Amino acid sequence: MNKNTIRHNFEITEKGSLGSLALGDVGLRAWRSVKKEARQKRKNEKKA
Amino acid sequence: MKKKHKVLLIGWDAADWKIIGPLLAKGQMPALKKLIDKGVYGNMATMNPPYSPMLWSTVATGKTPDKHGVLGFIELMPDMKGIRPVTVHSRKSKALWNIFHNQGLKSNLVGWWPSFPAEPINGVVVSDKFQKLKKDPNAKNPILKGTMHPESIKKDIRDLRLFPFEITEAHILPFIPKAYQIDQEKDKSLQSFAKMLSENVSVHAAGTYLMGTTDWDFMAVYYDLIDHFCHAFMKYHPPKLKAIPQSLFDIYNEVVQGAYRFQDMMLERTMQLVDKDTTIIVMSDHGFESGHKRILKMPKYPAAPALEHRQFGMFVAAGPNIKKNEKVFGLGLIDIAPTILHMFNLPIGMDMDGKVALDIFIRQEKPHYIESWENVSGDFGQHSDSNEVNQLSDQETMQQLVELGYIEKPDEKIEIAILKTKCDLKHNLARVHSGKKDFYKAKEILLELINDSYPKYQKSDFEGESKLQLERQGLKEGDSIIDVIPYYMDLLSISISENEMDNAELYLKKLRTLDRRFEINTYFSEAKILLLKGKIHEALKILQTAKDNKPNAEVWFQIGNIYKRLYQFHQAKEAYEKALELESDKAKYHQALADTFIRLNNFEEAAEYALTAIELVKYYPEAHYTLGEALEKLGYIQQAQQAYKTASKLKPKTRHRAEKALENIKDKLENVHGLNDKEHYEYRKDQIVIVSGLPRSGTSLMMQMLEKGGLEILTDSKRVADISNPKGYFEYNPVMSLHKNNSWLGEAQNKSVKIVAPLLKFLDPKYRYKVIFMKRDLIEIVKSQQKMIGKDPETLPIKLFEAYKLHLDHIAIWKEKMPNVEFIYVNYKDTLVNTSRVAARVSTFIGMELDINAMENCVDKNLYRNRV
Repeated sequence: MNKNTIRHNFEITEKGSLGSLALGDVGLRAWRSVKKEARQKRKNEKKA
Repeated sequence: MKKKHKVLLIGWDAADWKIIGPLLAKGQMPALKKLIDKGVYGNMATMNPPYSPMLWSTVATGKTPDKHGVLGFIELMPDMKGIRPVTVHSRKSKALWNIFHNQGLKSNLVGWWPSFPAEPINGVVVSDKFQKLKKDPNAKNPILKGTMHPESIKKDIRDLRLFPFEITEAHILPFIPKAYQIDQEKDKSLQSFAKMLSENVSVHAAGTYLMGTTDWDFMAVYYDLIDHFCHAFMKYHPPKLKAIPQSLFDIYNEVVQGAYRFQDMMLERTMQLVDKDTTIIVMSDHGFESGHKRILKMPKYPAAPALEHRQFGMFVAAGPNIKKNEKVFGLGLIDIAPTILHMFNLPIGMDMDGKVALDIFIRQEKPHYIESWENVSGDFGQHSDSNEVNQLSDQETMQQLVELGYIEKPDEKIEIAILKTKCDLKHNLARVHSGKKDFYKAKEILLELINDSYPKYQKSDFEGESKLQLERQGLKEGDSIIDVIPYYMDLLSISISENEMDNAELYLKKLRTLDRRFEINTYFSEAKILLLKGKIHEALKILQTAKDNKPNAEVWFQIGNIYKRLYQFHQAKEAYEKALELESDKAKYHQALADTFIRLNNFEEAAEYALTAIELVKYYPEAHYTLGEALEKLGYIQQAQQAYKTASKLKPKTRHRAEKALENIKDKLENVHGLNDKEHYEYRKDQIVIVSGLPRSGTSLMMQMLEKGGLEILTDSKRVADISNPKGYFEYNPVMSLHKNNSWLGEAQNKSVKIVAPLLKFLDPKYRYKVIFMKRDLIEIVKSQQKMIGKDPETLPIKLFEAYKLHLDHIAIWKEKMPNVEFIYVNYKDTLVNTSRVAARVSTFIGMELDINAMENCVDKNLYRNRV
């Protein structure tokens, strides 16, 4: 059972926001995932 | 599936209506607004001393700190060889979650202070150690053993800790739009900001995770965001304080409001995660000064930042059985645990200090009680032994407490740190006893503290790193390591409360010797001692000087009290109004003003202020009594009866005034009397008949009549008849010292005793009195007195004459104030001229059949001298 899967209707940026932190676990994880993706993207771009 | 009634308790440390109110009005705390609209709200009264770990442990146990054992921010290690931030091992009483564990209910606990090491309960505990992270971004932050229960939950939530170095401008700018102006080399505020914000986000993330992924009956989440932000940034909150530079004000003035708004955003999310059958409680443990009483320079005493904590926190509750959009009154921290137990239909321990807040419920069911949960055996999910956690002298946590100012930097020498901690904990316990008015226990501890011998600072202590720290505190070689000034200050307050004038003077003198830098304001104590000594005008002078130097609400309140004592009610009213201008939510100021309005015959205002006092503090018998007086005078007899009933019920000690007032009301309901009538022509069981008046007003004459009439007289006949009173004085020697000792008054029951007018105010309110007050022309009285003491009766001392006049006015006011006093004026001349009529009136007033003929026959009209 996990109710913490509500959809957020705003874009999470790499810099994050208070809104995403206020969402708690899902917000924090979603933000970190965005950061990770952005880092990976930069890494890939650098490699390319 | 049957719906479960769940309870979610959310702790917002230091949240205060004074900040919340304007934000609600601007629509900037929408989640809390939603909760208020569908629930109840009110003040939450804190306790003394207002230290958060003590207070939140009281919330969890329903007991005061002397019982639950959490007495401060730090504790001694189990081996007594060190100190550490307070842990769950200090708590000696069962918390709500222990009881729920025993009863087969599931609890989740997140961030509670203190909750480390996590107790093995049925449910999940994420202790207050979870969110504490090292400042150094390169440092490792392993999750210590005992941080959570069950250990298996670690893998699910270990990534939910937010690190301060992850905080970005997107998080900072909504709080500090001009953050770019901060010189981070000099000003470390942003570092503190990041640490405080990230810790609370970690708590919130763990909380929301558990809310949505686990099955629970009770859940408690504690946030220190508001408290920590207030300690760091309240000085910059509007209105701008003079001492705050404009540049810093411009940078930081939105931070405190930002903290509340972010807390509300987190609440919004929390509310999305619970079902409709969940009761949500949001509460704080105390408020936070946001007005003129903000402190810019903290005194050096331990836990001095708690001085910024305000008496009232906030309380909001909403749920299926909670009333809608109603204000509730008189809640205290001790009431939360009993109320939550009641929500689960569990019995309340009779050893708990609080009560079930029945007023908040739609359906009010009778609470059940057991003697104590402490005596119930079985599994309560507690730790089995407290010696296994020696690794907990957590430097980072200690450092944060130091930075917040809650504790001094622990001494390098561990034995000194241990000694200081021991003394602090003892002192806190004394303050808890003092707060509970158990002065005996408080004094015992304080005396032990001042009589102990302590090591002194040596030359070597002023070498190296500690030199600056010690010098900053004004310490020097030879000074005692333990500062005993706070102990003497508490002893002084207790002595004053207990009217121990000699001790009070002694402690005041000692304080002035110890406080060589004269940092402590002693004018209150000095004024109170002078008052105890009866030197009212000197006390007033001191307070007026203090008021001129630095006006504050308490000084105005004390000034008001003195004016009231002097029967100068208009001045008293003005002083109390000034006090309220400076501090509008002090119940005692409202009550004092209500009482003053009664004396000024403005009963509507009196009722208004008494009601406000009750709104602020429900358990306030004096305010209920004053409300009763006002309502009685306004003619609302039934309502007055209710108010008196409440006043008499509220305190364990007997409320004699309220009980007598209730008897009077009963009479009024049964018989129609004028509202100002102080005569009830009936016998009162064990009544004391008092003959009073100014000296030479005919009191001996009336005593003589009563004796002849058949009433037993309390006299020792020590003062023999003389030319001034040829038939005797009918005096009783202990009356002379009635102001010092009124314990003998019981002997006067069913008898008559002569008491000179100025001593009437010292009558013990526990008895019923019938006062026959002799009135005689004042000029005649003064002339008669002059003659008696061998002075020229024709020279009238004007000052004495005026003083007597004023005194008679005071008596008129006093008699109205005393519900246990029935009162008639008897004219001296009438007594001589119309003796039988006066005798009959007196007999009816007393409610006994006196021998009227004998009373009449004993009067020698020739004694009427000095007539005008």
